[in-house]
Amino acid sequence: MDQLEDDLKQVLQQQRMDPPPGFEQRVLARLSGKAPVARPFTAWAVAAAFVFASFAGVAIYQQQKQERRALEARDQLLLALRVTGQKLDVVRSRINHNSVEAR
Amino acid sequence: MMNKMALTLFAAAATTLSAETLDLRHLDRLAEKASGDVVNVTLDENLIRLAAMFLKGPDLAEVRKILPGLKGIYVRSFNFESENSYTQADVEKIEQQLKGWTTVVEVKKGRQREMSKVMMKIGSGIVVLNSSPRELTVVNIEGTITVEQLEKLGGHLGIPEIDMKKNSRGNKEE
Repeated sequence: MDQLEDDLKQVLQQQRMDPPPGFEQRVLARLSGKAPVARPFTAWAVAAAFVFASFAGVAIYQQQKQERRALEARDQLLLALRVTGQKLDVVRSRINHNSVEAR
Repeated sequence: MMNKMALTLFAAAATTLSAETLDLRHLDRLAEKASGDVVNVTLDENLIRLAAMFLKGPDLAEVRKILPGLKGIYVRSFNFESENSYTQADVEKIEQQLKGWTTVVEVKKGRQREMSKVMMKIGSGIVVLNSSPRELTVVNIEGTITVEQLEKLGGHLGIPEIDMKKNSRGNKEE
């Protein structure tokens, strides 16, 4: 049995061949260019983040739009009250003027 | 030439008039004739609530207090370069809508075509109508606002201190 093993080893060592030149580089180059395998969890996380970002964007836009409307309304309100004040001032001065004339 | 500033906010809201809102649409054509500032404010209840969210600061405290009772604020103010830019019919059309309202103050100078009126109706609001040969202004504050509240606004936003009780009636002159 030992003799058989020794003979086999000897034959195989005689048959051994070195790889052709550049073989290692070609294998490494192919490995580095290979696309990573997508994991299901990563894909779902990316999709969820995208959906969340979309909803957040819409919500922020709506809030900003609402704020712009509110600020416009506030300016209009203050303008209306200022005009009211000015006109009440006119009313008062006319009353005073007429009171002086009536004396 | 004077700057012309037309401030129109949500004009569509003006088309939906409630029972107590004055119809001021006949005044819209005056904006073209006006030479000075044109103020056109239309604020319904929703917009007033929205505006209230941004009324901050102690100087606006009195303004904030009156807002919950308001249902609308409508202002039309025109200044003209020449006289007769608006007609008496324009004013009468407003006065016709104020039948049943109480006149708090009325000052008239017939020859000079100067007229000031402050009218109110409980639960409906207050109307200030001011006219002179070259100016026409209508302010319609709709909702529950009292003369006392207007008095409290004195000093805020340039709104002068007024004493309506002292000055009401008995001052009418033509």
